[in-house]
Amino acid sequence: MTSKRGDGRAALLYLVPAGVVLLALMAYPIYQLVVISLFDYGQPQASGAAPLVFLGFDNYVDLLSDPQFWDVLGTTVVFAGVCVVGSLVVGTALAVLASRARAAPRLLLFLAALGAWATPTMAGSYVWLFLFDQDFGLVNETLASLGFGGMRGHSWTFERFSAFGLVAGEIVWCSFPFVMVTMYAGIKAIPGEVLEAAALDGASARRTATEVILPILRPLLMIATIQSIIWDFKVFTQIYVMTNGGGVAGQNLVLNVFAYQKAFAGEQYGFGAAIGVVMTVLLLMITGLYVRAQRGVR
Amino acid sequence: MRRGQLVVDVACVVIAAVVAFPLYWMVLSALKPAGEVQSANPKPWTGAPTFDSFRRVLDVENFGLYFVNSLVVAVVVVALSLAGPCWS
Repeated sequence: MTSKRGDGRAALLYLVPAGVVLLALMAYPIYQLVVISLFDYGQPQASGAAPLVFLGFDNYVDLLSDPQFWDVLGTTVVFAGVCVVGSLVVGTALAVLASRARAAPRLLLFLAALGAWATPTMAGSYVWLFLFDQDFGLVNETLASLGFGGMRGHSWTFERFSAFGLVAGEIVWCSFPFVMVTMYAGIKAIPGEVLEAAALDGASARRTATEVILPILRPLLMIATIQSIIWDFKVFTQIYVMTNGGGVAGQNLVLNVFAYQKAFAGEQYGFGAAIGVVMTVLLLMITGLYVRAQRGVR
Repeated sequence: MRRGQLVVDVACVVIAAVVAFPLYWMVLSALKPAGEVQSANPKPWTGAPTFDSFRRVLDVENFGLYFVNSLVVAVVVVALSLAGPCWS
């Protein structure tokens, strides 16, 4: 037997290859992002026509003193929150439903959910736009034929909250399957003896749910929540496609689309990179706080 | 108990249909003739299904190249993310 210290050193050595790959693949792009955010980096600098000027934190000062940034940040937090809660509630509810259903209906539900999950984001966004199209959409057509004549020619994406609602619907549609599959696996993994013991002790269905099932599922729920927060905070494609780049006068901008508009439409790569860094830091903070809060509960 | 089971099963099927409807619409749009995809009178079926869109995608566009590109990226990413944990 080797000593404990020797084991640790060997373990470290084994970790080196994976660590190198991880560092190269993950740390380097973030490092580049931070570096670019410290420069006045636009199209002339990118093509080498103008010299690079080191700005220090000027991009960040500009960003934090831009009232539009704070507006967009607030919108993004609320919008992502709605999408996260929506995906979690729908996904968990359907996981419970699937665990109670018989095999054939359950198979149908899983096939549909996996189909929605597998649909490319771009295709999903366009199909939803088609369905809710002002003049050519099936939804308006159906509503009109049901007696809501006013819905003919109604635009779902013109008004701010209506547009956000439509996009949120599409996002929940394509992200609840992940939550559903995860939670379904968790429900199926609960040992029958535990539930039997609870029943023998005379626990009500409600107490069984809140004090036996929920604590067992909590780690899974946490993973699903963190995943959803990260996905929905970074949402880009759905907003970009469905509101045509951020909606009328930018009313539907979220941070990622805002960063894209600044960095690429406005050719301020340094400023856009600063938005990216701020987003990364915010996401780390939100996730960290959430993990800590969950640890407190247990 | 048996009625409860029926309610659960029916709910399951109905929700599956709602979730799958946009998928159905995607497939339907792919099969509709060009003029019918965006029409003032949208119908959830088509009288003249056609593979024209598929033919165009497969023939005219660089579909093969893009498919191979995606395949290469996917294989490399999966291989690297599986190999990473294996080394450690």
